[in-house]
Amino acid sequence: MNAYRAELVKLGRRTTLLAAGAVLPFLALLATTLVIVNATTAPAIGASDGFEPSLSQLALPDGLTAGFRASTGFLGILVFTLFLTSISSEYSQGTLRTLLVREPRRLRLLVGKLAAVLSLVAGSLLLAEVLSVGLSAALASSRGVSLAQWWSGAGLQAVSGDYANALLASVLFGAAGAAVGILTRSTVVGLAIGLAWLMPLEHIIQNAWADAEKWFPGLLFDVVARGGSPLVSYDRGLLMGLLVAGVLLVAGAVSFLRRDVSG
Amino acid sequence: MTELVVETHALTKQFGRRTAVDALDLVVPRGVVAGFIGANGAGKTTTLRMLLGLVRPTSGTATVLGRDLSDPSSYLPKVGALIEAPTFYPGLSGERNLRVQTALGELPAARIPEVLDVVGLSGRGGDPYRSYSLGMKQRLGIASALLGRPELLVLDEPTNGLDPTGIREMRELLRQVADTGLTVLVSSHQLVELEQVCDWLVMVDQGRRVFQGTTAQLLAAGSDRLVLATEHPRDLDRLVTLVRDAGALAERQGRKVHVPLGGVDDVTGFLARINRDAMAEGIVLVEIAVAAGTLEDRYASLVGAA
Repeated sequence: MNAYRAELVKLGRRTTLLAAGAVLPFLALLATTLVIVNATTAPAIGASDGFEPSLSQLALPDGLTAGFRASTGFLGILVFTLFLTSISSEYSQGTLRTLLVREPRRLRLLVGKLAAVLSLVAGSLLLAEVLSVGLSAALASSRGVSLAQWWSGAGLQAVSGDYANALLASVLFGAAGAAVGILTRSTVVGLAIGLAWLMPLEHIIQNAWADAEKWFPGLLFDVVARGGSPLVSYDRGLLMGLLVAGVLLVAGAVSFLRRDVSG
Repeated sequence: MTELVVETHALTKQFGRRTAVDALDLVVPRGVVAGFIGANGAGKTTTLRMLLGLVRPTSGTATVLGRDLSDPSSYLPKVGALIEAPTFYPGLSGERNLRVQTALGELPAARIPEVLDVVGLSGRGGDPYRSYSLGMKQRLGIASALLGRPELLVLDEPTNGLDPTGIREMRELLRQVADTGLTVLVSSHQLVELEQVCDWLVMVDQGRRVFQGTTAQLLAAGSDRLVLATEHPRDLDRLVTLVRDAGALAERQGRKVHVPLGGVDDVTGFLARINRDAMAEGIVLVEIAVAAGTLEDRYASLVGAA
């Protein structure tokens, strides 16, 4: 708990909050605007996904959060980077030794730090969804989208479900980011490896081999954020995602607990 | 019996094939300002890191404040430390950095203005850490170390990189802190600064202890030095060779040659021999003086003998 509070003091700086906490809400507002403006008049096929749903899809219960859901495509990179830098910068700035002298129980320190960063992400996601829902409601009438199903029980269930999925995906991306940060002990190296893997590599491989979505971490975590995909069910995505993130996190935690802090 | 705040037995740390600390036995009695002396790479920082739970010993045992080294959480709340350069978050103010520390150590935030006052940073606590001078950063590091009202203060090279004014200020701060009665273990390779504040010394070389005891004991152990000057400066290097041939350490410092007398049993006989040999070589000595030894001389003689 002390480590959690200490990390919140560190994160509570205005510029940090603005940089780390406002990006997701901004992206959600942008995505929501694009989704509603770009909505087509094509007939509805299933639930809305992506940036060009049909107007009839938007009128479905989960149309309320279509913009928020579309914005989670950027979630992985942001959360991965945030968790990675929150750990790796402690190594590169040398602040880890100051923290460990104050809190030598390393596991507590690690858990507290990660929980604080996750709290920031959770708050940011909540704000993003609230703003996205508000903007969707405000813009829907301009495209003639009926709000009748949005404010139904199913609509509200979609709101909570999408938030839960985004938060779960954040946990998975965060675990991977933290693990890479610990194992590389370097922001530059960690970001180079992590972003190269998550952005071009996985997607290039996916273009050549569609089943990559069933096995590769970043793609699996994305499946969780989207609530499933045509190829990978939500349950499989979540199970495999937890497994991969768990392995990475255990490897990172063991390294954090055992390696000398000599730099 | 004197209570020991730090005690190590055969403490060893190897990094691969390199032995950084080699079967080190050291003690630090309660209430002293202990100087931990050694050249760069002598194993000081690694030893301190082991005492602070940052580095795991390869072998050996140690206690800090009576608690075993394997359980740092049992003693670190009573230890304040500044290891090498102070490390804080550059974007946060000095005060906010200390708030991170009080939150982490469950310490009262009311301590922050107190420790800032002790280190002379009262008016600058709100400034970003990145805007601090090196001296201010070091002082903030000491403020952080003092937050928990420690029984033991561990400072690793606290004057590294400081200008002469900063060194003097740090020395005064150290003395001020020591006057409150807590035990201080301070490492440095700048012996002059330690000589003035330490009453207990541990000297290490290549990971091994070469001396341990009070400063008075060390200086009393024959650490005077001979200062020689020649009529012609061109003869100085030949004089150095001549002294070394006589079995003593010699070092040219400006226009003089300094000879630690720690390892010389018969000083009078030695002086006579040097004088005779110089004359035989055609070197005219214009100064032969015995000066009181310094910590530096004693360290040089101990390391040279090790």
